[in-house]
Amino acid sequence: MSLDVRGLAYAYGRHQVLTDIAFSLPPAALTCVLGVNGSGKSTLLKTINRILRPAAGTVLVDGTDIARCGRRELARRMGYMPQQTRGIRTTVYDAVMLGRRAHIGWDLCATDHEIVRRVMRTIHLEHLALRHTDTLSGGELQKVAIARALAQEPRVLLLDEPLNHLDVVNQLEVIRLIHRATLELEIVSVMVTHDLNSALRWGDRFILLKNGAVHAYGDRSIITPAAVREVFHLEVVIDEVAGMPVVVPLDTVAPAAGA
Amino acid sequence: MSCTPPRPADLEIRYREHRRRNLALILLTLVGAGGVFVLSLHCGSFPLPFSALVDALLQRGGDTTAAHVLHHIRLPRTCAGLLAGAGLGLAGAVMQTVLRNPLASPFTLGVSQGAACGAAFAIIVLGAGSLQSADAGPAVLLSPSLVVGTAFLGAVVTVVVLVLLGAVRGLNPESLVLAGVALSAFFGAATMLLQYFASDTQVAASVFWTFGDLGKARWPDIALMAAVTGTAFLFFHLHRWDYNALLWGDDTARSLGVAAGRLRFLSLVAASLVCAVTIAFLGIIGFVGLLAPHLMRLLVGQDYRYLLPGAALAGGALLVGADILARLLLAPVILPVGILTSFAGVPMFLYLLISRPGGSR
Repeated sequence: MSLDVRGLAYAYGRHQVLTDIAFSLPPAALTCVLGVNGSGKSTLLKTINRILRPAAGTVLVDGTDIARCGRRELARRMGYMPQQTRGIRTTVYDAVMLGRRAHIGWDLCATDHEIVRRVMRTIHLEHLALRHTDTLSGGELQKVAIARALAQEPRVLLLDEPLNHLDVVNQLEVIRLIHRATLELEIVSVMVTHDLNSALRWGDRFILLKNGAVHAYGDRSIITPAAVREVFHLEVVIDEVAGMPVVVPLDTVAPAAGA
Repeated sequence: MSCTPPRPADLEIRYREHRRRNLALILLTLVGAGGVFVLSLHCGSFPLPFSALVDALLQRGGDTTAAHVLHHIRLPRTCAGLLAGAGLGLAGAVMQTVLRNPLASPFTLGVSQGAACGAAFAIIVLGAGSLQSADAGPAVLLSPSLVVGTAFLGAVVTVVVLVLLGAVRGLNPESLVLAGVALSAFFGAATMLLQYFASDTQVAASVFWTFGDLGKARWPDIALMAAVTGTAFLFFHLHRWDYNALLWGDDTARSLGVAAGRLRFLSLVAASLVCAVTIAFLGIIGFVGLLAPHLMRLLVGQDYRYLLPGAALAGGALLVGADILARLLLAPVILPVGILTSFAGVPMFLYLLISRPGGSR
């Protein structure tokens, strides 16, 4: 199981957003996409699963070019959690069941129910099963969105800022769930985040995006004060507290000319 | 809040109970629609007790007047009401989701005004416009087929313009609603222009046409309405999971395998055709397309597996119920049902808006 991105490009009209993006991601690893606002992080996720049609490049899942898959087939291979989620008047159980949409034939079958129950158990949502999603908190809604994506039984899980708008407790719970699901289900997980500390603590691979291009890609060793300065225009110290890496922002720095 | 997570078996039982509750509510709506159907056959200025009703239905006994009233007046009127209400309820439920607008209806997109303009064109320009007064009941148009045809054409032209704008210019749902408002204004102005140069009787005829009235429908019209509404229901039902996905936004829907743009396009065409056929045969009937889906959302939530049949049944029941009132309020005068649905619909709709959890979503 792997995700290979080769020469991916996307433009909104004449504005080039992504240019020649290329990387290869292994299974059972959480990859964090980092970069400043407008660097193309969310567009990258949407282009990978063809919510937006790329101008160039290919995306391969287990060696299969997804451009040759139908939308239904693609939904069986890739799960996606959007940046913002708001509840609607439907139960948590039915919202998670929606993840089975690409698998459902004429009607739901026992397997669909079994998978939804299993996912809800994994994400700790069973006690909310019959609550309407418009009565849930932000953290609970994020968990529903993750559960729905997992119910797709994806090989690749794309998460757009899953920690946004969450308090520290919920951030920790949600990222733990994502990490555990990634390892247990051996899937390729790609998470866009602004939280450098969470990324460093939980991420296995990192993609640093700058101006729509890959600035650096690799394991934890690529996250250095110099790389952060170049990508975020931020002076930082990276230290270790209780055995975990911690990024301490010191000051902003002016971007280099032409950057 | 600490809750003990239920065992899987408990979850299954609780979910099954939830489904059963929703199905029971749909069944209750079906019973309500059935009750209103029977009541509609029974009520009216000509007394038709239930025993006579059964005899006339089974074509027993010798009361030819009762049989005539039932088979030629009440039965077609009631069937037309059920079908039109069902169609408008379905169209409203679908339009509100695909256009991401809780107020979407045939009015929002200008379909009603397009049809009214088409009818005015036939009445004033093509000469279908004189009125002949019947001794009992409302006045009738001299060339109803021509008026129905041009009204349908007017509605379809509106749909085609919207669809072309959506397909060629790639308009988003919000822009489509705005385009509908603009088309509404255009057709409203065109109708007024036609009426400005028309004679008094032509103006009266074109205004009369806009009154939604279930008595206009004949059996062939009802058969066509049934065919279009039935086909549209099948299409909507096949895409029930897709509408559920669209509720979470286009990006989520696409990631779940829904071709959101194509679904929006086809759904709008189907919903607008249902409205076009209904309006062309019966005139403008307001608020049913808004009220029925919102009423059922309160009862069964936004899940389209339940909402679609619920909105269809509630729409039919509401329209036939309003028609019963329209026949009884000033009997023997029969009021156009469109007036009643709007009068009764506005306070009911405002109540729903105020009482529903989560505001206007």
